[in-house]
Amino acid sequence: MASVEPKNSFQNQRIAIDTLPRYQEVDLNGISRNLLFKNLIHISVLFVAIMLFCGYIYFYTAENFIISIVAVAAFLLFCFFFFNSWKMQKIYGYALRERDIIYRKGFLITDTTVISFNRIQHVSISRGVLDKLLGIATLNIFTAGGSGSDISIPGLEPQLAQNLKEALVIKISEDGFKSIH
Amino acid sequence: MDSKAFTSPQRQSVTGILVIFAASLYKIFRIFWAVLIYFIIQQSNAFSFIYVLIPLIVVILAVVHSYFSYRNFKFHINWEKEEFVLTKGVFSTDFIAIPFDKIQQVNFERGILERVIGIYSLVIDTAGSDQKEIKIHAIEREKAEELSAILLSKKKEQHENLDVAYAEEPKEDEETQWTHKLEIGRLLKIGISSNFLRGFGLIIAFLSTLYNEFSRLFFEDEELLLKEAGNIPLPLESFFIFAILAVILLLLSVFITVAEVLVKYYNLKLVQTSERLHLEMGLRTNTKVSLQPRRVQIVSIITNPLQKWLNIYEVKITLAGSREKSAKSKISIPGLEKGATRRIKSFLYGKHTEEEKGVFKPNIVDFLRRVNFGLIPLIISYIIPITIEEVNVSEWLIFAVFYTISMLFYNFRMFKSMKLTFSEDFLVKSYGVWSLVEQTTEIYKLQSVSIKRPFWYKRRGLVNVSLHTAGGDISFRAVDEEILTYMNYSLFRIETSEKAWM
Repeated sequence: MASVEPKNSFQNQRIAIDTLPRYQEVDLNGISRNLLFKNLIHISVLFVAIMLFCGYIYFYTAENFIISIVAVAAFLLFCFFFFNSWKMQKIYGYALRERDIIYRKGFLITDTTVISFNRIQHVSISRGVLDKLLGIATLNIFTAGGSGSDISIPGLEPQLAQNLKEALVIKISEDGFKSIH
Repeated sequence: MDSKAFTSPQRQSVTGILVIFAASLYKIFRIFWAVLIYFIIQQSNAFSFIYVLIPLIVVILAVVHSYFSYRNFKFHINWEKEEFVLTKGVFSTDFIAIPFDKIQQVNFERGILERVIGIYSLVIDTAGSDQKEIKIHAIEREKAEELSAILLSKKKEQHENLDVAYAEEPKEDEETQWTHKLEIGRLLKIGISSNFLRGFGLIIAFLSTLYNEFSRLFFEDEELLLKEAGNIPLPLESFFIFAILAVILLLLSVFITVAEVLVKYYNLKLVQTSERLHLEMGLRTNTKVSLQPRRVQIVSIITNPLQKWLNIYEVKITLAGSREKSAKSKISIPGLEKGATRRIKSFLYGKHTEEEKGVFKPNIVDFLRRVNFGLIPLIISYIIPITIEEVNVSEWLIFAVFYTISMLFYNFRMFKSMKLTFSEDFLVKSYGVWSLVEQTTEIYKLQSVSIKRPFWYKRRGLVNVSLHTAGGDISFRAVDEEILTYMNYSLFRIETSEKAWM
């Protein structure tokens, strides 16, 4: 049925796909180093808690052997966590293009998500206690897709997060304007 | 309407908050009061005051927390930027802004308590999943009504009536373009050619409940039962019995599957008018659905070799996720002929070509990944011959070989069938070992794209991609980096499109 249609009835026929802008080539902006501190604090607190627990078991019960193994395993795991958050810090990045926002995260598995401005539903800024102490904020961008489709950019200076939010809101409403008229 | 209403930050209703707080306190007290009194009476020594002190501290902390939560929960309308703004949080701070034209629905929610004291909960819904809605508890009636009226009047006209694709009867003046009906004969064919695993599962579930009931009944006679079990015939005879049992089980599975299909799709009628598809079906519960092409996110065409031979195809349509259960945003039309699936497609997509531009298959790494996961249950099952005396290793080995071969076969077929195709306007993912699935989505309807690269893919130049729609994701693993060109193409299509995507 479809094959009856003449091919040239489409407007977008002649796009040279290879010449389209490439998201991979955009230089991304890094994020505040304070996020690294925040992650390190999180991990350290958990690490100290687990080590204290292991120490308690070691000195007050007979489960010496098992708990030593657990402690060593936990130590190695946390070594990896520290290494991971240090590596992750370098991967984090975001960039605004004319029509979309690019965000990259993750060290073991690097995940890059691109959201077009005309698909953004709403934007929010959230700050936890540590965020406030360290002077950073997280910018959340929501679409109508599932959670994999949304992005949260951590470690932004609060003013920057606010500015980005404002910029995005303007972009969103521009698109809204376009689709109304 | 006052166009400057809600310019200044508003708070929740104080009485509302107080009453709700008192109510939850009372609820907690009702659960714990007995325990509390028990402890106080039991251990009347110097430390018993602790049992009063701790709850008291908890209550005080809760009051302080609630107070700050109330103080910090503020909302207002920013008329200049045309958005609804909400800030909240005690230790942390959330700042949420929703543009007027992204608001899907504004609803009131009221429990019994809220009815009694005359307050409302206001729920502001945007497109997307449940977690993305915003809820304002304890807001005065007048405020709630005014706010909802403003937001509803401001939200985009075209978003209206999006939540439900339901209940609309075909209008008299709508011209019927074509109709599809399922007769009993064809329904039977669908049932017989369907996957019996479901029916089989139902039987197993039924038998296991039956077994539970009986074992409870004859609990005292357990020893007797075990003795009887010892008298079970020798292997050769038992094989015969098992064969008969297996045949009976198979027939029963077929029967149940057919019955289920009959009940579910009895009297199915599909009518296409110029603007909508109307679907009606069901013996017990009559399902009625009408849908517009705009709302459709993913169209899956499902068949299997047997059904293909019988010219039976099922079309599953996924709509933009609404607040309702995901089951409601998935519509299934079984028993279509190949021509009918084409008609549905051309109704949904208009004039279109499906000329392939880029075809992608997964790298062999994907097969290895599948096999690795498939081996995990095998390794775990090795515990059985070790721990249970009756099972020796050679018996386990027979099972292991059988399992490994079928697992390898299944995964190889799956790996071979995986295909992702980009055409001018569409994205098609097809896969399947027995049931063959072909998922189609319009590229411009995508919400965003994600590219995941595990570090062990880097050297091989592979990536995992996810293309997110409002009705679920289309993901593809271990595919060559060349696909990035088509990711960029998808973005281009999304960004240059001004068509409504839901």
